Amino acid sequence: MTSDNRNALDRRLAEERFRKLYAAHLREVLAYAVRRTADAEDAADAVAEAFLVAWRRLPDVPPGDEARPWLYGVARRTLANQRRGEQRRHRLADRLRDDLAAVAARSSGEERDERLESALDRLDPDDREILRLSAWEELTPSQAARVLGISAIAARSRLHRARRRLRRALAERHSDLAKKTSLQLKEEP
Amino acid sequence: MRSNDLKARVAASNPVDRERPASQPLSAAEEELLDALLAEPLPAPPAATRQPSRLRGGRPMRLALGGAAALAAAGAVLFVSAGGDNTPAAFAVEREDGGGVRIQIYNLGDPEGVEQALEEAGVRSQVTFLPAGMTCREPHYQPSMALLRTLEPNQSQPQPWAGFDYESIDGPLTIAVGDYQQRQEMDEEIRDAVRQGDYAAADWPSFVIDPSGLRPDQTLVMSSSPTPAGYRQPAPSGASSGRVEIHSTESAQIDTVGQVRVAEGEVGPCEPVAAAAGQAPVRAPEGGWDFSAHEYAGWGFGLGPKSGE
Repeated sequence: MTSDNRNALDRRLAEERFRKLYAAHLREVLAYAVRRTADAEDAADAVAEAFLVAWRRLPDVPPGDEARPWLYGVARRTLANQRRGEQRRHRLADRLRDDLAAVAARSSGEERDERLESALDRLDPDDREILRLSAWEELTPSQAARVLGISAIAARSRLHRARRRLRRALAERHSDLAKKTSLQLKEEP
Repeated sequence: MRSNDLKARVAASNPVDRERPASQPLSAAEEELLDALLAEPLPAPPAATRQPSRLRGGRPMRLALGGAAALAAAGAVLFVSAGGDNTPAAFAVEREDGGGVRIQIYNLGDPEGVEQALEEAGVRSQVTFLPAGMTCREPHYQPSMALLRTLEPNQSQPQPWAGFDYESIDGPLTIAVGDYQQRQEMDEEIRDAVRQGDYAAADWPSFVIDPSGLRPDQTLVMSSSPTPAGYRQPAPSGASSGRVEIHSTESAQIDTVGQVRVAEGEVGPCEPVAAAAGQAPVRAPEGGWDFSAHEYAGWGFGLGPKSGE
């Protein structure tokens, strides 16, 4: 086999693997990004970047469902850079931006759990993110660790801590309300 | 609120709870992105696919992470390096919110560091790491008992605890320090991980110690040395349980033998002597320990003097 043939074969195998990866995980990565930014353009950029990195570093993408946290991790870093103000539109994401609504629609109509959302908002961003990775993306602590770039043990520890802090935040809010109510009762004649 | 209820409540706040399934064909825009990506040149030559290597017991080595992810690795665990920047961390201290502390020993490089970590967690200790085949000349302290309430059901009273012997700990040697409630919280975390099938995050401690179970005149005496060649049958070649020493900053397996004991009063220095032939390098003094007046409290390990010692 000549080296040209060899390269052509490698290329075909790489394409085949990438097509599968793309088809299997595109919507998941899109949903991940849309969940974390209200800006559809940012979400599309993060998705394009995640798959561009996956294409360029295909041998580094772990097999099976472990590809999912790996892709989330790349998308996450892209979103973080956007938040740091390095805003520029991804050259590959042009069409996707217009198509986002069809791919991952925000659910609406359901009553919002405002108390939970306010408690989540008061958490440290790292704590919030690991709770979401666990509940929204249904990742195990080890998979969340891959997204966050920390050790599995640190992720498990952080998840546990985040749950405790969320419980506390929910309770605080509850007792604040109770305090307010009892004050009102006292003040009323 | 139970963990599961809390998780369900967070899950319900998901702004995108129904993504389009992967089984649906790609839209025009999605096809377009795919084509654009495939038109991007590939760096050549492609590196060989790296598989995560596994330690025995299914603890995955985290070597598969590359680039930014590996650089970002830090998190809540404080790694304490034994020397310069290139030296692998000898141990790590993980502090829990509930006040419990987990000390993970990766290699036998920094006994003073481990002593200090134990001290900060409320446990006075003498930690000695010896070369393979060496032991302390005994007796160098007065053996004693701590009180420990284990997490086993039906055990509401603290039980006397004399320490334990270990060999070939799977993964880092982990000491969990905390009172009953703190240890319960650490235990619950691990159970959570196991329930989710996440065995990599299930860091069962090698042993636990409750600082309040030690009297002020008591000291935890710990000595450890690499397992000497011939002490145990080597694993068949190709088996995952080879006698290897792997050091990395995140995970490590140390193959050591050692013992943890409780001393009371003055603890003398450990004078290293060669262990007798055929004997475990860490051994009881002539005639064995005298614990005849006490019962042993286990924590999932067989404790107490071995018969014949």
